[in-house]
Amino acid sequence: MVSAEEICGKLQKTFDDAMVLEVEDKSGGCGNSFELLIVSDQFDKMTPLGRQRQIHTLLREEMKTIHALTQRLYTVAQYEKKQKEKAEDADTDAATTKEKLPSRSNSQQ
Amino acid sequence: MISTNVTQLSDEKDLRKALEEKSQEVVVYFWAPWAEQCKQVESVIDDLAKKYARTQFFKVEAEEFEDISEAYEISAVPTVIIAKKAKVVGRVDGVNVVEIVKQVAANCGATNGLSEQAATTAADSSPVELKQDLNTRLKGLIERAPVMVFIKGTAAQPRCGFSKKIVNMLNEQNIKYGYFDILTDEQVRQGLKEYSDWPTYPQLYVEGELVGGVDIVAEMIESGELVEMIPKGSVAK
Repeated sequence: MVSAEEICGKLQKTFDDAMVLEVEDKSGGCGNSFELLIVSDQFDKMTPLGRQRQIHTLLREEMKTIHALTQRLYTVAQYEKKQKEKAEDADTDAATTKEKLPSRSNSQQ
Repeated sequence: MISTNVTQLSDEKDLRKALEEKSQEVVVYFWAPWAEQCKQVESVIDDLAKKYARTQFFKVEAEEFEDISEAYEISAVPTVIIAKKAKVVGRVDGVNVVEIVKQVAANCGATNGLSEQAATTAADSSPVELKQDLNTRLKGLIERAPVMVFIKGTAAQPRCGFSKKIVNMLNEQNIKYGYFDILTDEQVRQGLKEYSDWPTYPQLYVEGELVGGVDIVAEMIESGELVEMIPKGSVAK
């Protein structure tokens, strides 16, 4: 079983410069579903695909047992922009923000 | 009419007769017209029928012959059953071409004067070639539509939260896409991970290139990058 701490520890070795590095266990403890947030300028000039590939490579062993790994990988500038937008959106109209973001709990078909 | 050892079943008596009377193996392939992935198995069955000319092959439209399908516990198509005197001696679920070839070789080789070993060795002899076959097939699947998504379940009924999310996102963007249900095919499911060096599903491809999974697609929709990538013909007005 993989734990959030293990993943975090492994990623910290590479992303020792990270402004944010969060690993959250979303599986309710069974260790197969995680959410990742890394803010690091190492991602600069990398495509979204390239960024995730790097994570997959670093977590090659863990990926064998992890069922789902949601990844949010930003550069510092991107992250700050996102935070700013979030704050502004929250100020203006919370309802529109909700629509803009792809919602996780879409209705049954 | 040319006599052949392949029968598209139209009267279930034919199959019953073959199963009861023949002391040799009968290969029964269950299919459905709406299941795209059956086409590949169909061509494999045709090839095998040529090689194993003394074996009787039946193609059974699973929903047309519910009783037979039920008797053999067919829950999904394609499924290939090898029966001898109405007893099931081999079974392959899904588009597992390698396994179908292997099982037919193992069970029908002797009848056709091919020793089991010779037959299975023939099937096994070139893993490289098989791998190439799989890669060709994967490439074909990826390029089947300008926008292709590989998901768990169907587009109408995704069977995983992430697959559902990606399907919903594409629908919301009015993007026209083809899909492949990886749960129907273990070979594709494992093979594509390696082929594209991407360990998880869903996977979205645009014009044969991997775009990514849910996170990437969500981000690219938000930033507008995805729409730019999609060929014009693949966006519904």
